[in-house]
Amino acid sequence: MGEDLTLFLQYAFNGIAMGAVYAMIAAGITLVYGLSRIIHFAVGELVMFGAFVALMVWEGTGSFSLAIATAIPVLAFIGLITERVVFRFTLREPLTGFIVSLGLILVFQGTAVEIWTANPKYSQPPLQGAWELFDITVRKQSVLNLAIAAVVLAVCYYVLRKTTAGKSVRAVSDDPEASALMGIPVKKVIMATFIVGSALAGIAGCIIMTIGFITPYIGAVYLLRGFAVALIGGLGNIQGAALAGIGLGIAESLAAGYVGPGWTDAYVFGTAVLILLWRPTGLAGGAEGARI
Amino acid sequence: MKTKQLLLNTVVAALLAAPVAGALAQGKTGIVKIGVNETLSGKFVFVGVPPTTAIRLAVHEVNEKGFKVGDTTYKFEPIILDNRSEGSVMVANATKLIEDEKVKVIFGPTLSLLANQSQEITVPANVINISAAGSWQGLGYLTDPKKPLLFGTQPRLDSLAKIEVDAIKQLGAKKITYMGADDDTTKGNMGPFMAEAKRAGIDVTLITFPYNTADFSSFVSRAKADKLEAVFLLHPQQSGPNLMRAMAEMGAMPKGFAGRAIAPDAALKLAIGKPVPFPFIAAQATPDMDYPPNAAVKAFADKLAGTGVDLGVTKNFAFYTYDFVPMLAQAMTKAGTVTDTAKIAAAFQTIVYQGAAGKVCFDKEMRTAIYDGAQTIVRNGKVTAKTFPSTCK
Amino acid sequence: MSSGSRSRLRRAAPYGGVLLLGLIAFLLPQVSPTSFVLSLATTALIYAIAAAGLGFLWGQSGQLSLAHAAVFGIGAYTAAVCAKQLGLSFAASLPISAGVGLVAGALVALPSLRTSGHYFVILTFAVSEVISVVEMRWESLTGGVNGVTTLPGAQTLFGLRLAGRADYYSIVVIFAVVVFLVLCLLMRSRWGILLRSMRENPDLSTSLGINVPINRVIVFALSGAIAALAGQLYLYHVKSIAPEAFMSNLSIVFLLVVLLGGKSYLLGPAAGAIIYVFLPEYIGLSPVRSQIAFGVILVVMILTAPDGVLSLIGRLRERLRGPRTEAGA
Repeated sequence: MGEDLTLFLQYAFNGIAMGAVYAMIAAGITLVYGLSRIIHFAVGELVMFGAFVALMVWEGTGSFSLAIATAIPVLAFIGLITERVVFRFTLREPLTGFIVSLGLILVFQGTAVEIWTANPKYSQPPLQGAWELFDITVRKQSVLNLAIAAVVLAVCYYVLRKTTAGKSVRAVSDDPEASALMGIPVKKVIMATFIVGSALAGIAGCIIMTIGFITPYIGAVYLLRGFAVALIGGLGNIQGAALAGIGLGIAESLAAGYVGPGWTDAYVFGTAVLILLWRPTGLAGGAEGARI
Repeated sequence: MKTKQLLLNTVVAALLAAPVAGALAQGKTGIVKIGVNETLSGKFVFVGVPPTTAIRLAVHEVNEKGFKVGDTTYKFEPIILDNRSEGSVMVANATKLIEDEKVKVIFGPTLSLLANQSQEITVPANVINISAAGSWQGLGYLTDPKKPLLFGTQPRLDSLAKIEVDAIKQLGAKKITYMGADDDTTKGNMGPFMAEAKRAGIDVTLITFPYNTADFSSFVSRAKADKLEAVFLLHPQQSGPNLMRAMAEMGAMPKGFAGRAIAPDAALKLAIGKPVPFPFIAAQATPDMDYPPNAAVKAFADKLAGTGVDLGVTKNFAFYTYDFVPMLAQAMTKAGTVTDTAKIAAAFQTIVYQGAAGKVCFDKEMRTAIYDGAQTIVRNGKVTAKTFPSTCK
Repeated sequence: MSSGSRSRLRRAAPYGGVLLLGLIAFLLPQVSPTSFVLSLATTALIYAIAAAGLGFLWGQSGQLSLAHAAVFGIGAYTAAVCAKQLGLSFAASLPISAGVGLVAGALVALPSLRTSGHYFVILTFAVSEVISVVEMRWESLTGGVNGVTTLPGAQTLFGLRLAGRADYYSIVVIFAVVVFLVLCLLMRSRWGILLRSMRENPDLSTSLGINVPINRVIVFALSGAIAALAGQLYLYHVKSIAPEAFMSNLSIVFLLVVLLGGKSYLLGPAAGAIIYVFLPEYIGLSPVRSQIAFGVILVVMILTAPDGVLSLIGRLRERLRGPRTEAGA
């Protein structure tokens, strides 16, 4: 009995760490969608870029904080460029933005292969080893990753809820036309969400670099997970994304521990379908679906 | 108009004949096109690049002297097409090679999924298809008398299982887990391993994981809770370091790690930056290029390095094609034809070739290759290699 | 659509256009193209058929499905099961796979009665992920990850051999022409008008006594049947299928094909499919650089011609005619 509970808690903890990564990716997807209505499919590739940038800095300097500090502006810059060069032309037709993001996937993947080759790259996690807490093995890096994700998401939440900038973001999300009338620079706000969304993907990439191998093709996995989480949490909703992300992480971990992975994806997306049907705006309620 | 054209034709014919006449003086020469249909971009680029690089190298070497068929000296001309890891492009490429380029031999795809499609096109076209796809063994294509032109270049899975279970015995583990991605490769390979392990009295628990798993904590937690002593990782090879890192940090499966074709670097530095605190054995159907057991492998590894192509963790896949190019040339010489695929295939099967992978030949019961296998063992940071010599006579 | 004095001619023009292009496509084997080109052309036409179903759904009803490739896959698998387990011929399994596609399409439509807009698109994406996992796991039927193989043997259709490269291409051309003609007919029918009015204003349509949900389900079912038909054609083209091929990736390809060609043009999907399939083969850079270039070209094309490449022809025509004061046709 006691052993069973310990094992359950062990799986649950293992899952939380991965779930925090999903939550961050989903937060980026959700922000961008909430304001621009663009389903940004190249987010997975941004995560991949973040991971490679972090890997280069971390291997080169041995400083993980410097790696994060580099990945954030680099990815923010990529976000800015993609918005200026590509997405701002598709704001009136968000579906075109979605399709264009597919073209970007090819470009990002190919560029990454050209720079870093297609072979998997590994890095040492900044923190090695584990603590034993009540018979649960807690990997140090997992704790660090969880802490990073928690801080980042908390900052996002605080900015959105408590600051003027955040309020204008929410205003644009709720009603772009009224916001424009009230003098909110709608286009600038949308540009900012692309920057922030990309930076979030970049931080997620930094964390992924500490967990597993990276290749130019890892993006799809994280996109799918991030997307499912954004859906379940309600598009446009950061708290929802955080909760759903942790939930997915734990669910995957429990599946790994108890039943094997076979149908996990079917359950995840099946859940997303049911939730979308039951409450189209997600469990916690989010932005209204826009017309196509 | 007509006379003009006739004149033109005559001139063209004369021009074309001139080099032939020149060649006749020094003995006839000819070109044999061989097709390569590989995953050179897209998700599975790492599968296709090493075998393709090795073919380029091997063709270059064969062409230095050429090979004789009758009184003609031939050279190979490789036609290398990228199928972008996509089925419909693979089909178009195979069609192009067979019908437009009229090749009689196609190498690849190495990826099982595409190789299964490829043989549906090459078999009815009477074209020799050579691939390392493990699925061809599992699906019985290489024993099927109706598909005599299919050749596998990966050794038999049951002989490979012997090398793998031997690794477990060396670790001294009695209760282990067999881990692999949740897919057809794992399914196709676990049978022979399980049978071999049973004979050795080893208790095996199967644990599968999603192909792209990054964090192995929960799989390792489970193995620890079940008190499993060691792990055998089948594939994907790139998960090796992550799995070992989780084992090291969580203190699970203390008797060690064994895996198929995993570069020893994974245990020496990639996993935790220093040698892992448990024994590591990589078992594989090919010799290991990073720790070459003999001069032939060393020479091959150096030549591959000289191409400048970064082959990464799947570099040993280069053995899947390299020796088979000169063997093919020998088979054509022996068969006395460069077009009659039935005769070439029959000759191909009888050749014993001393190549980079040791003595290379084809299995009598199954049209798949036999050559040197290897174990690379890392204990306390020291690397030793053990060769399982080819059984070719 | 103005109805002037030449309205009859104008009304017949699209049918003539489809037939003419069909004829040109049909004659392609006569100029003895390489088998490579024929094989790619077959793929392009199959994509065009599938995308036409999606384009009809999108253009006429304003609904967009990312589960289209999943239905395409269901069609291919149904055909494979018909051939392998029931021993049916190509012709005999066609109505079955189209029928299953019809039902699958209708099922995908059901959620659209509750959600709409982007949420629906995303929902279909999730549905297609579920379907691909089912295809991968339901091994007794689908052969799992290894997939299933179907060979046409000596079968013929319209007197053409299914196993022949040029013959099979011609068969696909015939199906493509029929599908495009039927869609053209439907677009110009009263039902087509009704669909477009539903798209523009569902509430008004409801108050006018139109049963919006039923009609919506019917369009989905129709596009599903077309997708499944294309799926069967694909199976007999590539001979062996695996679930990997039908992930949402392919839906996105279909979407791209529709958008590249132009979603408001009947022949948009055909133009889009030709670009999508042939362009990467002729960029002529190293494999990876070709991929980058292809991505850039796609982005640029969609940004500069958001109404598809066919809209460029219209623009060009206008420019040739010179500036016009009144809003022209």
